Amino acid sequence: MAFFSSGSRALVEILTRLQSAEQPMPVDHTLFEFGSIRYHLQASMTDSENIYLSISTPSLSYEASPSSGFPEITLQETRKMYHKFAEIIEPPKEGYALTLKLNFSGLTRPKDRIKAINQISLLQSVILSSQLKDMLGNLGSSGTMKLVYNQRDPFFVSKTPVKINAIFPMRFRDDTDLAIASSFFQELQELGSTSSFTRVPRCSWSPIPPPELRGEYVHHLTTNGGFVSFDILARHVKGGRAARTAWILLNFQSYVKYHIKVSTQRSTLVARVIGVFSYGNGVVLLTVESSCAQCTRSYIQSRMRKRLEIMTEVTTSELLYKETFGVKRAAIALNQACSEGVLFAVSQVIDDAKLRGNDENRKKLQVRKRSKRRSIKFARAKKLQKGLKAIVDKIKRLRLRIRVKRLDRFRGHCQCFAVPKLTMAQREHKYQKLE
Amino acid sequence: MANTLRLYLTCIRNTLEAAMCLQNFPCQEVERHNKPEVELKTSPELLLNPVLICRNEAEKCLIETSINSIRISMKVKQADELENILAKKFLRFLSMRAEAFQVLRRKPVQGYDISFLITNYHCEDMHKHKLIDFIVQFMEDIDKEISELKLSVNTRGRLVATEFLKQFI
Repeated sequence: MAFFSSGSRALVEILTRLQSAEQPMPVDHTLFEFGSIRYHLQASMTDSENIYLSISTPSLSYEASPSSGFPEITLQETRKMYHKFAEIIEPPKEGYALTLKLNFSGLTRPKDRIKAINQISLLQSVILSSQLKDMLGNLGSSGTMKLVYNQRDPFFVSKTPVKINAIFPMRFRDDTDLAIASSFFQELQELGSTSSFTRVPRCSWSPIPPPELRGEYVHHLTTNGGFVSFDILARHVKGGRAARTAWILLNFQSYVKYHIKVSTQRSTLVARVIGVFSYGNGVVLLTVESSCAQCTRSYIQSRMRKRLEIMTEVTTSELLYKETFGVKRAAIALNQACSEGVLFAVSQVIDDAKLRGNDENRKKLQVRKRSKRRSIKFARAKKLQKGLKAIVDKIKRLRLRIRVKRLDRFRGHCQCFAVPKLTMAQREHKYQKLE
Repeated sequence: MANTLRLYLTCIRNTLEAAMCLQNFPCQEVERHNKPEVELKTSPELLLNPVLICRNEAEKCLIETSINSIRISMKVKQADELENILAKKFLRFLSMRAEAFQVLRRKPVQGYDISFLITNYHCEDMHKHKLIDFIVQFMEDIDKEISELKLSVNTRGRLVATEFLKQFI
């Protein structure tokens, strides 16, 4: 997952491309990662063996100014890690905190080169962990400090002789986020205390600030999601584990937010945009990792949508309606159409006749609904045609004489019912105007 | 289904069966208008006594009847904060799509989570027993869905927590 892989994919891709190129090519790239980390890669045709990599990262603390460069411990760590194929250039490139000269010519095997490139991609996490180590060293045997890795979500690190506590004040924008996060924190706390996770840092979640934060400003301690703290013991930061542990904890808040939803903050960048290149004036997105994992909020939404479909099946079902319903509605609408003489009403008649009329028509309509009304225009024309037919039928029916059975018999026998037969001459009789 | 829930739903069903004897009745205030009296409440002689059926403090159902309409309001179980949020979200989601249910009210009655309004026209068009079945089924489904949603949110939380803690090992 993007949160846990501390390596820069963009760096790996560029360096691999440079190494695999048959002819030396000039490179001058500026990369931005996570919104605040800036890399600069430079290689020239004349000096093809050397690649200059510069990095600039924001400081973890407000107290340390970024212009003063990295502390000595960071430089030592970097030298120690990359001594086989890189050396630190003093002073670094303008606007960057550290510049490395990479030379992979000493590594003959391609396997070693790939390994070296992967190590270079971890530069940021190495810097961060060494910075953290330096800060903790400056803190003395015990104390608390505030770190700002993510501008909006600062966190605290408290040191005691036995352990280090990473305390995260959790703030959420709305109640839904808070409810989902609370459920997550409960699970995290419970899971951390199970036998399968005895080796991981102990996690605790409390709505009130832990005693280590006593004396901090009130506005730093005002949260709606409580405080999550991890107890880091010596075994968690032994050897190469330090960088990894630091990286995981630094990204904890982003991870929580990503679990809740893909926010517009840092987590979006972490999850989606792996790197941004700037070629002169134009900026090009290098790779976009599509996140297939669905966040909890969208999961709830999709589930609700599915349930709605199931629930509305009953109300749309024809079984709910009485059989006479369709005919009655059609008749009412027809009367309306006749009285108003509006074409719209005619289509309403047809609609309703079809909708609530006989079963076949209703089924047809349902099928049409399911197929999301693919051809609306076509259907309208058909509707009109059928509607006209329905009206004509109705009119015909109305004009038909009501025939009462056995009435003919009376006509024949009874004198009072006798209908005088008119001769042609009588019919053609014309009235004359009286003078 | 739990025994108490069955009793509660049976009680609602029986009450609905008794209450749903609606007839066409023109408005007494406005000529040539036909309005649900249970909503207007202008003529007390057209209203029946409302019936409140409670399973517990958090779960209750109010059935208000008039001559031409019936209003059913429900309060859904919300045991904790997560259930409260999920119920609120889900019922709002349904209310916004009220036209799909025909008898669902867009805004619930104050103090309740969701309301239905059944008029004499609905009773003329639809089978009464099926309408009652639908209401009872709806109540069952809401409870079930909220429980399932809560369970799946917790399960997802557990999976995400496991994934996070695994990184330290």
